[in-house]
Amino acid sequence: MYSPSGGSLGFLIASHCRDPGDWQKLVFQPYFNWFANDNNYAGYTVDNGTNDAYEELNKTKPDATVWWVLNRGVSYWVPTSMCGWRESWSKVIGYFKDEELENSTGAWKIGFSTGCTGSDNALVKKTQSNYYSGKVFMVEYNELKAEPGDSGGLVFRAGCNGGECGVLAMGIIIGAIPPGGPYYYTLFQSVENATNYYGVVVYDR
Amino acid sequence: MTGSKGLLLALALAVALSAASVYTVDHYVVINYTAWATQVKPTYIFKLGNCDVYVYVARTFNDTTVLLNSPEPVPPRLEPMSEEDVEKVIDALVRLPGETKVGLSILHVFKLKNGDIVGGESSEDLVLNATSLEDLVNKASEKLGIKVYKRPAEADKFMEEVKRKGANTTTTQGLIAKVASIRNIYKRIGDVVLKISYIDRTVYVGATNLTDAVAYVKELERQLGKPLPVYIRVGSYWVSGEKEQALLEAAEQWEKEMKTVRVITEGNRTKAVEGIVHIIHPSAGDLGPVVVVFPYVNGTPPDEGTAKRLVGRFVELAGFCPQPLVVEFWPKTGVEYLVGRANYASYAVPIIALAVAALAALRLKRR
Repeated sequence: MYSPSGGSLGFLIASHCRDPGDWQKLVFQPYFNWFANDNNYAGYTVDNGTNDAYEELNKTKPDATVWWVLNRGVSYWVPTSMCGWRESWSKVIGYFKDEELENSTGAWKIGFSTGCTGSDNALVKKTQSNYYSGKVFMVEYNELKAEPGDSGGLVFRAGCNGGECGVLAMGIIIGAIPPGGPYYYTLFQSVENATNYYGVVVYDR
Repeated sequence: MTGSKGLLLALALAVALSAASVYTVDHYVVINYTAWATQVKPTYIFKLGNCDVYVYVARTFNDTTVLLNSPEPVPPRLEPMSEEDVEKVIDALVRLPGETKVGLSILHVFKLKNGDIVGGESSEDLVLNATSLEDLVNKASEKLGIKVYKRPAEADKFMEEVKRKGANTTTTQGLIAKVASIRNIYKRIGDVVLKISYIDRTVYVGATNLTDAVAYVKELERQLGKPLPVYIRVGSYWVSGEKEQALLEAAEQWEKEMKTVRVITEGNRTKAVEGIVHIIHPSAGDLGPVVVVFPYVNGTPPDEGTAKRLVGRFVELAGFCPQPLVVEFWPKTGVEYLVGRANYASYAVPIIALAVAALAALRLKRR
């Protein structure tokens, strides 16, 4: 994504993955290292999302943070070979609006812990609680497996937009129900809600 | 057989089949969420005033309830229509009575700080009173102050051209071009909602009355002169924004009164929250029935009397009882945030190196 007021590219990540505190923090990859000079520096985050949905007065706040990437390349190609798809890489050609996600079929994700999981038969349902704000959707766990460490992973589905086909972004992984497992549902935060909240544009062309 | 007789026969067949949650009426795929939400044998059925309450108590997560281990209403896939037909359906939908909510894709071409030309997309919804597609496009364009295309492919083509020429722009950084295209249309007529999107090129209808829904779709088909791919979702009630909010507030108050919530932290982060009430919308939009999932209170599955008291309190707090009210009790509810543990091993090398350097400095100083 990019911001019409800025000039760099970035990603959405889960807000709860960031340490609470300042709204802006530096990002290092794979970790902070005094001896790496600038090599490990990978940009900074802008976090106006929520770490505590229950205490949050603005319930439209998503569990999402923008990571503005510096010192690294950013691509809109998704490594769908990890999912066993025929295409090794699929281009993000758009995203779903919230109302298109409700009661729709198909959800895949790529996460840090479990890689690519998903199914074209996964049914997407809207879910609400005061303990998760923004727009949150759920999918049966057997259809979309995720484990601790997968938060912020892209949720997507194959589709076409305009004259082009590729993947359409749905959201980012945030959690699972019930806590401690075994899990029965996987939760994700929608793209539309998060990007509209931050006023950013999805980089898909 | 006349059209109306055919429709009556089809509807009669639909009634006969309504125990199933997915069936067809004519060639329309009907997903009946009321039938689905009550297809599993409930643990208890009771009345709260005039309201029917279906209670499913899961003693373990291996039990079958509406949301656990029971088949979901997966409709068959329909062949999407062409972009040309979507445009015609949109025109026909706009002409039906009432305001039209139009979802627009806003397409941008932007020059980054590093000189790269990139394209992107955001979205915006407008509610407009239009008499035709042409009128809708003009009104949307006037409101947004940018050109609005009827079809995404037309807008894409224009933006590709801008991107191609963008390399020669004198702009050092910032927006080069911005246009919009129609993405989806949403029309509410009484208790029927009709939607169509260029993304899946299929008509979606939500309704509490199947007869009305079928009548509107037939009207669209009559105007187009051909059958359309249509899903009709049938529910038992609509949950408006206010009612949705009332259910959420009731859930919060119920959790407080029953003292079920436990927040689990790890370091300075919230790792999980146990014991919350989940409000789940199996259907689309605000079409009920919703399923309310409660945690056990005091760690035991509720007997009928306890279930009646617990659900009764929730209804009292909400100020209304959706008909039918579908609730589940699970041994454990809540959410675990899937955050990874910090990989401390990765910090070890620089930290040990720092410690060694500090010790070496200390020794040199002592000498």
